Amino acid sequence: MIAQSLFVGEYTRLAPIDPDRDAAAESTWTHNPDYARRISRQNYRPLAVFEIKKIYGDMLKRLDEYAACYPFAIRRRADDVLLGSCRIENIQWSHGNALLSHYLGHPGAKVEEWLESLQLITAYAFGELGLNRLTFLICENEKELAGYLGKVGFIPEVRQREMHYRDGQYFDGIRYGILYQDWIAARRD
Amino acid sequence: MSNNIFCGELVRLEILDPERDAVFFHQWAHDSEYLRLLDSNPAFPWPPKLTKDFLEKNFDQMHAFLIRALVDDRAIGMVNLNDVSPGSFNCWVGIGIGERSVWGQGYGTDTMRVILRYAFNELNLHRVTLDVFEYNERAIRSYEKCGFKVEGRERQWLRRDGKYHDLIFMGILQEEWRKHQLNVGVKAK
Repeated sequence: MIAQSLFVGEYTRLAPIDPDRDAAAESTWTHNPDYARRISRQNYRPLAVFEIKKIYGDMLKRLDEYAACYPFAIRRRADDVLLGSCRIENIQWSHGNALLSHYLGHPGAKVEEWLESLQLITAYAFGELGLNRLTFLICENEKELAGYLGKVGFIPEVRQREMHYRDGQYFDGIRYGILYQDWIAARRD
Repeated sequence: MSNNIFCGELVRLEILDPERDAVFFHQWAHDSEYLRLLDSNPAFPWPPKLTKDFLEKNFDQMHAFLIRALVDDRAIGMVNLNDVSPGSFNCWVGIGIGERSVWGQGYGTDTMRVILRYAFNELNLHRVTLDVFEYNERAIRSYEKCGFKVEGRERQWLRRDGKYHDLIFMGILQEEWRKHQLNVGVKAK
C-alpha cells in the first residue's frame, strides 16, 4: 500500500509545480476561458506569464503557511510534457472538505490522461490528506469534463442557475461532489 | 419606504468601519451558537484587534455593512456582498445577526431585502448567491421569503459535534427578484 506511488500513474504523473518552466505554456492555455477560470477565479481573461507566476507563488505561500492548498503540475509520463494542472485548495481540516480543481490545457491531451490524472489527485485527497469530501465546480457546457467526473465517482449536487456568461449567453454552474465512501465504492466497481 | 436605498422598514445599513465596529464583532463572538450558524471556521472568540485586521485586509473584496435597528439605532449585525468587481454579474451574500435578542423578529429578512435591492437596482447584478448550513432552518425560511430558491446541497460538508451536515446553496436571479417584488406588493394590498 505505502509502496504504491501517489504521484505516478501509467500515463501521467503529478509533478511539483515549476512556474519558471511552465508559466509560458499556461499563459497560452488561458486563452481558453475554461482554463483561465481554473487558474484564477477573479479573472475571466487570458493571464500574462508574470500573473501566473504570482498566482503560483501565492499558492505555495498558502501551502507553506496554512497547509491550505496543494498544487501540482500534470505531466505526461512518457516525455515529461506539461499537460495541465490540478490542486486541492480551500481545505477545511475540521470538516474534512476541500475544493478540487483539475484541467488539462494541452490540446493533445488524451482521454486516458484526463481520467488517470483526475483519479490520481482524487486518490491523493482521500488517501493522503484524509479528506471526507471534495467539491469540483464546472460550467454546464463542459460536457466532457462532466463525463470524466462521473467516471471517477463524482455526482452533481448543486445547479447554480445562470452562474456563467459565455459567448453572449448564460450557463448554469454545476457543483459536483464526491464523498470518501463514494470514492471507495467507485474503486470497488 | 425611505429614499435612502440603505434603509428598510426595520433596519438601516451603514458602511462598516473596522476600527469602530470590531468591538461589536468581538461581543457577538462570545455566542458560540451565533458563530456556528454564521461560519464554518471553528467557533472562536476572536480578539478585536484580529477582527479589525481581518476586516481591513479583506475590505476591498466586499461591500460590508453594519446593520442598525431603526427603533433604537443599535448595532445588531453585519451583511456583506462578496466577489463584487467591475464586470461581475454574480455575488455572494453573507449575513449575521449577532444580537440574539432580536432573532426571529424579521430584522434579518428586512436586511436581506435591502441588500438585494442594492445588488439588483444599484449594482445591476444578474444573480445573488448564498450558502447556508442545513440546520439553520430559520435562515432558510427567511431567504425563501426574500425570493431565494434552493439550488442543491453539498452532502456532508460540515462536521460538528461528531455529525455531518449538508451545505445548502440558494440563488436568486434579478428577473425573479423583480417578480417577487410585484408579488409581495400584491399580497400586501
